[in-house]
Amino acid sequence: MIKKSPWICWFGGASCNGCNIELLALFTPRYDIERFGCLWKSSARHADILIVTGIVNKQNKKRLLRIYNQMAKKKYVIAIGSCAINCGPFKAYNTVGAVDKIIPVDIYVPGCPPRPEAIIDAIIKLLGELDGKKG
Amino acid sequence: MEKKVSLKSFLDEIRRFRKARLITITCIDEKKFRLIYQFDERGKISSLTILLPKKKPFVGSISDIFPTAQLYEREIHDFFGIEFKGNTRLHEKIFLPEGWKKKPPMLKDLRSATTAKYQEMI
Amino acid sequence: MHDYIIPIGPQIQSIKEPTCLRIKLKGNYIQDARIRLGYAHRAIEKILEGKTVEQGLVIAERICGICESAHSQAYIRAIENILKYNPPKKVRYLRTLIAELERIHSHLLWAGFMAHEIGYDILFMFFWRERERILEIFEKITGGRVHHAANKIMTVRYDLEQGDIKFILDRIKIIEKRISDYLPAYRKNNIIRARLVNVGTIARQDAKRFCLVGPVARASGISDDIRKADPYAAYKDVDFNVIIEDRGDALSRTSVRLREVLESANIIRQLLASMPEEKIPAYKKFSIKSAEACGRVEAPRGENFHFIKIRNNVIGRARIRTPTYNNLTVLEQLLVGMEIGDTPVVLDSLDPCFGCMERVMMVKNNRTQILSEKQFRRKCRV
Repeated sequence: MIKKSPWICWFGGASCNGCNIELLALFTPRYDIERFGCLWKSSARHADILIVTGIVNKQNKKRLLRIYNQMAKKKYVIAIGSCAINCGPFKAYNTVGAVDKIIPVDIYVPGCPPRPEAIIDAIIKLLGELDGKKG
Repeated sequence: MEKKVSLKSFLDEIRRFRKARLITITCIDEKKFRLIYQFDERGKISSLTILLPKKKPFVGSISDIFPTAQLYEREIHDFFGIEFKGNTRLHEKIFLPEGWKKKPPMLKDLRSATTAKYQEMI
Repeated sequence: MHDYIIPIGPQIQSIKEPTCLRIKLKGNYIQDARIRLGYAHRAIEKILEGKTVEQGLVIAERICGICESAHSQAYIRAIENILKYNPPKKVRYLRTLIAELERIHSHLLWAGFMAHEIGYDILFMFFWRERERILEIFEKITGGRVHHAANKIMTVRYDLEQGDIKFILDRIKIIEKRISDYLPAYRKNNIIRARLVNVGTIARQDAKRFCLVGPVARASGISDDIRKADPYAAYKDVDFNVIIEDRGDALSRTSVRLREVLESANIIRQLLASMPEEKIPAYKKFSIKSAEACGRVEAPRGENFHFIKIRNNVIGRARIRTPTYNNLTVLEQLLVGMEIGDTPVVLDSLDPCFGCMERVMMVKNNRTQILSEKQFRRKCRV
């Protein structure tokens, strides 16, 4: 069921918004991710995939954990952009670390920011992994 | 136009700029704290500088003349530890997390992680 | 009846950036609003200390992904003030081209968000479809859609090739036609007018007192534009108007931004018609012992101000003041007296670019009690 229509929730850490606008461009007519059945959901409880952009800092950490725990048992995490993968150039007194120090990540999409085609590729690869598995 | 003033004549000098637009307040940590108030007067940038001692620095707040100064003063208080007398919301944290108990982070003796690495490379 | 203080954010899907607004409600009306920042705090001013000037440029570009060339241009303006360097005509024209393309892209992005807040998702899709044409232009001439790295100190990194001018003009023509079609929809449609007219009005003397900048100030009648007041790049060579309106409400702010898109398209046509043929200068090394200067540009959201102090070729202190930071104090005053449903429209019409879910606080007899999630649920069940 997830394979036919994965619903997406977005968590925005501290970022420059470059990755966020490339992610949002997926829902516009040129890239149109809704043909794969993806929907943008405001609440993590309705979502299957959590997309994380930006750096995790001290103000964000508890919120990220809480949102991850709100999702249903079968969940997947995609980390987009170099800031989510290893903080980019922004290590300072405020940062906690990469996203995978806080929650387990399934797919990393490098780039600053990655192109929308790269993000679509990541989602398709994730759905391909679910081939042969139940649910 | 740049001008240096003392703590005594500070508020009178600020009142001369009340028709101008406040751009920002900058604080630099050198031998003393250097506070620069930058204004835009009909397209030209004018600045007013005041030097404050390192121990218990304080200065009067200008947030009754310029309401936007309230945000800048809170930021400088959080990052450098300077007290602005008269700013009612001074102790609300603006950028730092709620339970921040360490030293103000922008002071010179604290280096950022990347700066320390770069210094080792040279 | 008790008053409630509810937080809006930081995990909100409407503004796409984490920020927390604490709103004190009495019934449906807002009595007080406090904004809590810090969720997108990356300590950029601290990171810039100790970097060389070229490294600082790379970081300065990544302060914001939407107004990216505005930051790099303000930084470069400060450094070129120190070096007392006047760039040649070609470099100035190319920098202005990137700046105006970015202004169009930023305003179209914002217009899409505004339409989404009102509930008109179709306009959101239309604006972002037009915006993709600008991103195609960026990709063709600089190689990147979002971070272009086009400006370098004393020169630029890209040059226009054989078919580029026709490529740009074709797309600008389509955008001009489409935006001229969408603009009357905002002005005449009754449903949009009901959500935007007289919402979040800022009077002219308040705008002066709060030192507002950008389209927010221009929609309240203040004619303040760094491109005219303190010209840089090629703005002295082109002819353009500063768009001003005088109502000061959310509809005026929308109208100012959409009309600025058409004005920017006009500037781009003038630049391409008189683009010089010379080559761009090669990158030269430089060395700065000890100096400080400031540089400012007109970013899409207002005046962007950089103050840089250099010591021994390394940045000693960088002070960056973005336009949204300046316009935030007025937000708290604006929200008082409005209905809670108007909050996204007011917040979005100021075009915030800033990079808690704590608990609900209940105010009873002037004593505040913070409710945990369980206690709040019990109260809701009653």
